[in-house]
Amino acid sequence: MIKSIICCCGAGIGSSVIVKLNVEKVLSDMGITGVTVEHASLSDTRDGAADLFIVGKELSAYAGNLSRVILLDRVMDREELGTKLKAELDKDK
Amino acid sequence: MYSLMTEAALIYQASLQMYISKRLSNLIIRVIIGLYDRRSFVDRRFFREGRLTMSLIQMENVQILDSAADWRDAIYKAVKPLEEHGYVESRYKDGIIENVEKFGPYIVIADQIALPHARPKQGAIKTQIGVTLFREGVSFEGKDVPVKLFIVLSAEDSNSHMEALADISERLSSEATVKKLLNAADETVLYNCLA
Repeated sequence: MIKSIICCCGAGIGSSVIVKLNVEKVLSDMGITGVTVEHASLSDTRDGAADLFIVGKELSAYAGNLSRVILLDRVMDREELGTKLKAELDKDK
Repeated sequence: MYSLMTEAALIYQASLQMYISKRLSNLIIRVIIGLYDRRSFVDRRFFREGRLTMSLIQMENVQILDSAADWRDAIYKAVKPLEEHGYVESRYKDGIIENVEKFGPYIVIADQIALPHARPKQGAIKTQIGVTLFREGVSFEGKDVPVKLFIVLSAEDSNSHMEALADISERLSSEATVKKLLNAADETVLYNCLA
């Protein structure tokens, strides 16, 4: 079960914040509660700190050590996020 | 033995305090965002213009320029107003460039739009947003579409700018607003679209 998500970007204050806000929106639209969503920089993030990580495609090279990751082609695209997040959550069903 | 135990207890206490204060500040931010979200449209406009986003975008940090030599020059130019007005130290722009060199052009968040920023400790002084539109797009390696709009973010910590960023990303999700921004005739149009 995914209970925690960390959205990461290079500095941890820009796109990761936007993605975090979008994740919260998408989860609430899906009626999913009880998942904590945080934002962080990639260098502050270790595997195991959350059940799932969400990272922009450009940064995929730095996300290799994370075991469960969603890569976003377009960080602003809520639709893409929704589709990928749903697929990830469905894996646990 | 005794001193070791005291030290362990002190460390435990300090980490507990840090944990509680972090949780508490997160909670306060959530409550504020929650209140903000629940406001009606009219209230929201007032709220925005009255206190929140408005204070994060100043007209003095909004500019339209013709072109830049390359993406590094574009970042120098886009950060300049924030530097001149004391929102960031001069090393902030180097921090942004360093991050792009290290991680790639992840600051390009959508076609033609970049959100250049560095970490708070890389020279941010005060939370603020600067907006620069280049008439001629700037190329980033690995990006097909040149970038025209640079929304420079300075954040003094990792949470103080969240409402403003939420607000801006909401506006940028409207194609009409993006079109208006990219074709802005003057600084006032940019300012009004984002502030």
